[in-house]
This record gives sequence, structure tokens and C-alpha cells, in this order.
Amino acid sequence: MLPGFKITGRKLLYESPMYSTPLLSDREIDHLALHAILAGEYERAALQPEDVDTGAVIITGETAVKHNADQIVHHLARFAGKFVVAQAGGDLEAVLAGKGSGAEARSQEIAGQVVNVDIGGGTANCAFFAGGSCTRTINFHIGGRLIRLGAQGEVLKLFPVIEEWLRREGYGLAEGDLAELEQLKEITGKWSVMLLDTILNSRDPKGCPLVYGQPEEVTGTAEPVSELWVSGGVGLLLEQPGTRSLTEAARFGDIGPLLAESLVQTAANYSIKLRTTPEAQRATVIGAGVHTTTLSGSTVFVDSTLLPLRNIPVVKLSRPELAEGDLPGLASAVEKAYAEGKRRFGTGEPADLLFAVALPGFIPATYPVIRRIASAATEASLRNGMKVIILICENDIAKAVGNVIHLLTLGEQRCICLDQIVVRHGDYIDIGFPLDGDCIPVAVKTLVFQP
Amino acid sequence: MVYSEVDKVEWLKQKTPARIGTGRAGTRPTTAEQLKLRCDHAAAVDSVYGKVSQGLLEELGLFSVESGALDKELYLRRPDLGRLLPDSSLQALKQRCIQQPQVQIVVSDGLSANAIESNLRDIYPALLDSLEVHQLSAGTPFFVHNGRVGCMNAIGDILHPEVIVLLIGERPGLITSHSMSAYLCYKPGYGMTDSERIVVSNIHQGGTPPVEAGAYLGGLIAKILEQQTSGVGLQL
Repeated sequence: MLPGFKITGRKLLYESPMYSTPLLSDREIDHLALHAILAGEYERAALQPEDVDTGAVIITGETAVKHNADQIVHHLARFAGKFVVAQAGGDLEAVLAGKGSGAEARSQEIAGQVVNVDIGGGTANCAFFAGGSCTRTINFHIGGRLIRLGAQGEVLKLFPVIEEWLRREGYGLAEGDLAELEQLKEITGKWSVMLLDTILNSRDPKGCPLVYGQPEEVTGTAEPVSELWVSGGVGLLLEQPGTRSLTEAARFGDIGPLLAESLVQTAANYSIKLRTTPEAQRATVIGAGVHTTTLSGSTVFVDSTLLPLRNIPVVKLSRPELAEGDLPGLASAVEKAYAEGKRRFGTGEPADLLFAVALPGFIPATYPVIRRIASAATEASLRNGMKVIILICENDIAKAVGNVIHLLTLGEQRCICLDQIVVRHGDYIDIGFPLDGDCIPVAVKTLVFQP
Repeated sequence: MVYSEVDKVEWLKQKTPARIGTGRAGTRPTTAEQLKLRCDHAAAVDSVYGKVSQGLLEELGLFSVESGALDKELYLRRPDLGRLLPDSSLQALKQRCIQQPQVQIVVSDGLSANAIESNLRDIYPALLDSLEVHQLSAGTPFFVHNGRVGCMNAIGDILHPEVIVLLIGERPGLITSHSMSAYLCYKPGYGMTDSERIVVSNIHQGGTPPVEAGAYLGGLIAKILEQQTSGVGLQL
């Protein structure tokens, strides 16, 4: 066996209170207020941004849709520490929440799928886990704050996407109206049916009017869902008693309590029990804290003078028609990946062109194959005038590939080959300094800003 | 959705190559399971009694010498003989090999010829690459027929390498008969024991891939040379 490393524990240093996102308008986040909150919390935690080695700024839910979200998340990442990554998007949020709630770990213990639904103010993000890994995600415009209520139950605010849905469903509800308890219950009931039907009965998410993003197709026969976990603010309300009056329902200024109640009632019809965790509301944060940084295999090839590297885009090798021993097919797939990288990221000087090529896991680990990969990568990068070769392999082959590249380029090009890391086409990665020898921390970022 | 016990066993079985939940017929194993066991056992036996093909050794430029155990029965009964080299072999090494090389690579079938047949084409060139990356030079490589790990000492006494690397087939099990190990020793010689050697084990396509193991060895050898030990005190 070769030496290896893994993350074995975590210790909480400081926990801040929870804040509502400061907004300037419906479409814009209050940048300065947000910055002030963060600066204040660093001060209370007695931390300097320079003390933070690694971490993540994650912008989630409705906030990720604001038009200045992209800019702000990157600004905060720069402020927050030297190796902090910026991420966004419902799919990522769904996965992180499932990790933080414990649904992912639970899926290793039981047969069938464990689904985690993180229901916050504006979105419900579902992640399906089986055997400890995420198989797919679905995101809904379903959340507690999509309809805001005043203390007496008057409708203060309807989110545009819900306003439109209500109109299509024939509800006359408008801002300023006094809501009716039964009507609100009917609405949250419909949302619950939509949610559970899509998750449990594998109803095609594309046909569901409140689904957003690009949910993946269900391929093959998926295992049935054994447990449904609910995290996020609504998850916290699941165990509260039913509401009898409108003012009671409106106690948080929104329809969160009603949505939680409908979910519990609807789930009874599907004979599935909803589960939640005491830390439901912080599931995404916990998931992010533990899971944004992964460790590479312990045998890698790294020119450490290149480190650290930030925001390296990933181009993944598309599956070549790799018949047994089809080495030319493999080489042309590597070349295609480099051509694509050049096309997408090659706007500046060729010598500054930097992207990583990811090799999928089906590549057999034989010497002729790794030799072919190394020579194809060397030739293609040289042709594009690139000074640095970065390869990310799923299989444990990085050191062997890196050695060959080093010998082929005679040190003319510098090289980083990492393995046992799974990245997707279009991800961005940060590569940190080696830990105790060879093993390298890598932060994989999936930037998906919904238009 | 309620899962039956049968489903749970099926699910557990996918998690391990070990023989679990195999069922029974009365007081004995099922026929299918019994046949599978005999098949795997036969593969293990074949691996012990198998021979590394001459073609493979020629392809990689390895000449052969015998250990003190001239046939397999003797090799199995007398582990001590597998650690020795007869005079004819010592003479061959003296004549054909570079003396006092920095790194001496030796290959042996050990208890699994299958392991060498399956992995040598991948681990050997990767090992040569990693030596070159670390600017290390290798002596004349060769193959020891019916060798044991301890033959490193006998070779050390003749060729006096700084570091020896022995790629040797491991005792086959009922899961795989293709596993090999790389044993390394700093200045091997008479009387050296296992605590003075380091091993990279479980090298096969289902364990540590042979290309990666080969790629790792160069750096390991560099550390051995730098610290002048391959024993339990070696800092990895």
C-alpha cells in the first residue's frame, strides 16, 4: 500500500448569528452592508483574513439570482482569506446541504436513495444520494418567503415567479390583499404535492412549472427513495404543531410554517417519513465547511514553484470511442480537449494560457496508455504555446503521467498532475500547497449563476 | 419502501469481494459456490506453479538466474534455498552485471508468476522513468527464478548496489492471484532482516496501479539514498 491522507475531523472555532441578506432593491444586494457584517464577524471571531488558509464564500438560493451576485461573491472571497473560493448555484447548494444535514452519510448505511431537500426562503434544492455519492439534483422555486405576510396576514410581497404561477393557477391573490388561511394552505399543499411527486414518483422535473435550472435526466432504473430529509429554515419547522389562525401562520412574516405543515401532511399520503436534523438551518454551511476542500492522491507530480494556483478552468476529456487499446483515439481526445481550452480561454498571450485537462475514470492504467496521454498533452500544449501543463486524473496514475511529461519536455514546460479528484467540465479549481509531502489540497468550484 | 433482508445482503455483497452471503444447500455450500471456490483456488495454485514467459523477460531485456531452489517443490518446502544463489548464478551476475550500481533492479516470480506476467510491463518502464526524473542510475537488471525476498542479501554481497529494488510476486489469495510487491533495501548484504527493508505492497490493477507504484519508487529510492537507510527509521 502507498501512504495516503484524509480529513479526519473538524473543530468549530466560532459561530456567528444568522443575518438576513441585506438588499438595496429586489434585484440588488447591499454590498457595503454585507461587507460590514463580514468584517464585524471576523473581528468578533478575533480572526484576520490572512489567518484563513482555506474556505468558501457560497452564495445561495434567491440571492444567487441578484444581478450583482457574481461580482460580490468574488469580492468577498478576496476579502475573506488567501485561499477562499467563491461558489454559487442551486445544484451545488443542494449537494452541500445534503452533506451537511447528514443525508449523504446516511446513504452509505441504508439501501435505496436518501434525498435531502433544503428548503429556504426562495428555493428548494434536492440532492439524491446513493451509496455515499450524489446521483442528481433538482431545484424548485418553492420556499417560505416567496409570499411575505404582515402581522395580520396581509400579503406584503409576492415573488414574480410565484405571482405568475398563481395567476396561471387561477388565484386572484395580489399584494395588499388580506390572505385567507385556507387558500394559503391550498397553495402550499400544491407545492408539496409537486415537490414530492417529482422526488418520489420520478415525475419528469422538466414538466414541473416551478423547477429551474437544468435537472439531469433520470437514467436507467434508479433505486427507490428510502428516506427524505428536509433541511433549511423550513426543515426546522417540521415538528411544530399545526396552525389554526392566520396570524399564527404569519408569525415569521411569511408562509414558511404553512409550507412545513403541508409537507408533513402530504408526505403521509406517500407513506414516507420526513426526517430533519437539529442543525437543519445551517446544513449548507456545515456541508461547505467540511466538503469544499478535497485532497489529491498521495502520489502526484507537482512543480511546487507554480503553487498556489487559483481559478483554473477545467476542460474534461470527452469519452473517446476507446476500444480496447485504441491509443490514437485517446490521443485525439486529448488534443481535442486542448483545442477546446484554447478556443474558450485563449484570449490573452499564449504563454499565459492556463487551464486544466481532466481525464475521466474509465481510462485504463497501463504504461502505453499513460505514455500516450503524456505525449499527446505535451504536444498539444506546446503547439498552443502553453508553458504549464495541468492534468487532473480520476485514476491513481498522476505521478506516472507527470514523470513522462517531465522527461518529454526536459523541464521546458512545467507540470502539475493530480489524481483521485473528480471534476466536471466547466468547473474551476484552486490548487494549494502540498500537505506533508505530496498530497495536495484542491478546492473544486462549480460556478453556476442562473441567468 | 421497506427493504427485505435479502436486498440488504445483496447490497452488502456489492461492497466487498469477500465471500459473504453465499448461501448453503443443507449443511454444505451451494454447488455454484463450491465450484467458484475451487476455480479460484486452482488459479492460485496455477499462479504458484506457473512460469514467467521467456518472451516477457526478453521484451524487457532481463536475463535469468536460478535461486538455490531448482524446482518448485523444493522451493515450497525449503524457503531458505530461495534466499540463496548457487555458484553458477553468482558467476553469471559477476560476469554480466555492472558492479556497485546506484540502483539494482531485480525481478522474481516468487509465489506468483501471474503477478509478474500481469504487472511487469506497466511497473518496469514507469520505474525507469521515475529513476530518470530523480537522476538516478540503474545497473543491469535481471530475473531470479524461484526467488524469495531474502535473495536481496545474496545479490547485495555480489554486486554491492547502494539500493536494491526487488519486484516479486506475492502469495496468491482467493480474490486475486495478480498481486506483487516492491521490496527495497539500502546496501543489502548478509544478515539483513525485514526491519531493514521497506515494501510497497498490493500492486495490481485492483490495488495500487502498477504504473503509479513504479512512478512512486524513484522518489522513495531518492529518500533512502538521502537518509542512508531503508529500515523502520526511514522518514517518508
